[in-house]
Amino acid sequence: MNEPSTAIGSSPDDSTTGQVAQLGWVLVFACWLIATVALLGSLFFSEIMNLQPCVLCWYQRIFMYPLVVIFLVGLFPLDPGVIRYALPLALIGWGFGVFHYLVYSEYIPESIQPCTQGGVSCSEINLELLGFITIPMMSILTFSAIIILLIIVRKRCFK
Amino acid sequence: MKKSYIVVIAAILLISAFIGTAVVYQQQQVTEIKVVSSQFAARLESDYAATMGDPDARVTIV
Repeated sequence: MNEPSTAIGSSPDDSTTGQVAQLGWVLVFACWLIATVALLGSLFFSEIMNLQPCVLCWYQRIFMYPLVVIFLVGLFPLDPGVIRYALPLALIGWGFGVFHYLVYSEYIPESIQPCTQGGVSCSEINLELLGFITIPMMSILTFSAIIILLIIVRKRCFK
Repeated sequence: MKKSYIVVIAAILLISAFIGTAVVYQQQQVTEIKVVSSQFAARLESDYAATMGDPDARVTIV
């Protein structure tokens, strides 16, 4: 089966193109690793540690979980379209992460929190790694890392 | 090494780490519960309650 014409590195004669393609592949692979660790980590918190995810946690999961599949499909062969599909998800997820962090830090008033009625509180601190790393902070760091890597891939490999 | 092998190996390692950590965590939880329950077992025994038989005997509450 022939590779799509958009895949870079398809011309083995051009060593520069090959190196750029290699770099792009490694960076997208790093994105996949980060997203997969985030997926397994969130499942660990909810399924093993029995920390019930709040509504904002679910919104962040909605934008993180598909990234695992998108990056994996985009790796074989390396597809420039992976940035087009993954970056919006990562940016929206990052936005929810920041919002959650502000709720957590009580910068956003209780009244506009989306999950005050009934279910799990969005502002309840139930996990702090090393005394200061909270779940929203981990989410922001994860989405930020993916966004930065995707921007690097876009600038260095898919100009 | 082929790229597909790298991805497969990484996936296996990540899933193995997840399962291993989960098993270790659950074992720790069981150990903690046993320690706590043994520490506070005496509080559940009334002073006036009569006991007989093997203290380690299995108890079934119906």
